[in-house]
Amino acid sequence: MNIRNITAIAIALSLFAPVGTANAAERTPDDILRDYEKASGGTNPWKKRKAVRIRQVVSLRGMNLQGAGETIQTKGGAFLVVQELPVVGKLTKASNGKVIWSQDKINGLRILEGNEADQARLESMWQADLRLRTVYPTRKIAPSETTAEECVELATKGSPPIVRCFDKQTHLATTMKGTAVSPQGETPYLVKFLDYALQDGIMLSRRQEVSAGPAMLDIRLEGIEWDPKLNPSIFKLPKVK
Amino acid sequence: MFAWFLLSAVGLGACAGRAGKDPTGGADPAGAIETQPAPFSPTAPPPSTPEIENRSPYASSRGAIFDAAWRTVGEKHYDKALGGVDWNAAKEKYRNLALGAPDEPTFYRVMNDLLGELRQSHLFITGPGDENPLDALEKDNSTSAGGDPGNPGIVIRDIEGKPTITRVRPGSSAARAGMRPGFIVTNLGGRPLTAHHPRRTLRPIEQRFYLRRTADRLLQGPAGSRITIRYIDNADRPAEATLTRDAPTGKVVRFGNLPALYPEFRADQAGDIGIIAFDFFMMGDLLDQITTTIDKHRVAKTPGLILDLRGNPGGMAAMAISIASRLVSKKTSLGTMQFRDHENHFVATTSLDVKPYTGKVVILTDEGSASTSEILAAGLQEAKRATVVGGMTLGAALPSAIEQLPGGAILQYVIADFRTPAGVLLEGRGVQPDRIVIESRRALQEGHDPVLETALDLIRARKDNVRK
Repeated sequence: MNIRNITAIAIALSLFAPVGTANAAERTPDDILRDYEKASGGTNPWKKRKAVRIRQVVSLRGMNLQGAGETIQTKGGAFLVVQELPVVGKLTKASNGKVIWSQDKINGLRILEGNEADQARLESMWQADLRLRTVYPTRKIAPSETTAEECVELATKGSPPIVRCFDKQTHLATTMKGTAVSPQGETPYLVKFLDYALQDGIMLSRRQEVSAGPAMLDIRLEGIEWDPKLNPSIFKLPKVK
Repeated sequence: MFAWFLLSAVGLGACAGRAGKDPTGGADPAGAIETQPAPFSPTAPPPSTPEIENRSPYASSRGAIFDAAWRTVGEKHYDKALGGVDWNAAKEKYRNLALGAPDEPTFYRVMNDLLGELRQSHLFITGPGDENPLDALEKDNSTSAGGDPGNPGIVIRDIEGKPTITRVRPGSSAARAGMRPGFIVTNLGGRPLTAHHPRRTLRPIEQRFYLRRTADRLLQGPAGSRITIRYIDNADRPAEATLTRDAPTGKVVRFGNLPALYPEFRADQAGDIGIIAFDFFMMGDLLDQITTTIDKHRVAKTPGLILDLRGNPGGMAAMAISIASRLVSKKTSLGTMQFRDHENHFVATTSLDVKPYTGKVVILTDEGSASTSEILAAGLQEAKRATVVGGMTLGAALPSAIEQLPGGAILQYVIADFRTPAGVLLEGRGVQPDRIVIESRRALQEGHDPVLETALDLIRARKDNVRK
């Protein structure tokens, strides 16, 4: 699971989630997503906020590897995602609201374009999970694996579709399935959202299990800081020597 | 999505010989049995546990280890058909044998025989209580327990069919003891060196690798400990010496389930030609050293750069992209990794913060070049960006993961297949050099490195042509 998506998770789920009683067969994708927005606490907890910093711990299951992740998002549309593993190094994806860029030891410093840029933008925008109905022009019901869930396929013109599933009772997100775009191709992933708790008016999944290709990751939410002091230069494309 | 970058770097710990004690795989996978086995069924009931009295303290974990290893390979191997091997039948065949083993070394030997059914490299299991005769010997030769791993500073390889010293590290214990390239090793640590694997039939190149790896493992031990070497010197006189294992000079790197590593990096210059050598693909400081050196040669406009990958068994596969990206001026494919359900393309590409080196590139290889070394060499060779000089590579290029199982066992298993841009499967085949150089004892005795000299000649010839 991307730390960007963790951010999305942070936006998910609400205290006031009504118990799902509607007939699933009659529900539209937007019904499901609207309930999800409410379950996440809606926009109220975000109204007085201008930025958020989310920290995670990432473990690769069975590999004895642990790393850290941090996501910063701002209301103004800037974001910064940093993931780091010992030896492997640091991956940064960021945007100042205009240019989306990435830097790592393998692919170097790049301005993201096409599907990759689109995916980064969708996952990292402010209140991303509260805006699914507006940022994904194509939304349709997707088959669910259990009767306890209802699923929606979300797509844009630019990036591969994702399928998000929600618990029918709580409307909390249960899984997200899609493909991650990188210069190396598309890697399928599945995220399971676990261990929900209320924090600052928002229901948060504090743990995610991610399978991405052959790897299994455990991601634990370490902390959230609202309106941290930020230097705007962290979002800018680094100058090249 | 969690960055592919991180996953590829850690998940594709492609290397031959570091995680496992027995890096040489089985026969060419092309020789896999062509049958139509029953599909792998992770829920297949295990055969009944044998009623064999077992005194091993680890015996109670064996069932869980066996089942976890069998299931992991069945569920995660890139080839769902497992090359035609009936994996359920393999379980039937080996489970009782494994669980009834008289001791842990035998248990892990049977486990490796199970994995050996797939006839591929990068499949290996070890765990608590496992110990093969080599380990026992190493312990006997150690005069101190624990400490950093060291070695006396020599490389022993099969030259003209004999275990021969091919390199002596300047200033090392071996150098001080008078060891020289060209000495034939008749006995190391109390045993003769052989190219024959006790249980497997190896390809000729695997035999050479096996000898080299066996010598390497015997030479390694706690820093300060000693090992006896018997040899025939360059005057063809038999002699004996006791070598002390020097402490590692590089910084230790600890990465997941891999043992502590001390990557060695060398940057030399022959006239105006740069030479970069490193013995393992590991990101972090080593990658920084490599990229900084390449950049230095770019700025200095040196006419040629030699990447010496001889004896480099691989490591982090994604690092091939990083290095290649500093050597190409346009998007260049190094090949494709085919996973179970998707594929990743190894594409070296230009980026905003990297200016590529544009001089001539030559890559040196031998039987010890494997995995990521092969990916890098083959990709740049096919793209006509590098000339490969030296010997055939090992042909062990299957990306793998290393995972801890219940009971403390460590399993290395294959997660992808790798093909070059032209569709060539490197596993079991290796990289064919553009210039094959046959190494001889005489050349070593005379202080020559014919592989390096051929590379230097190639670059100088091109430089002369450009001048004309």
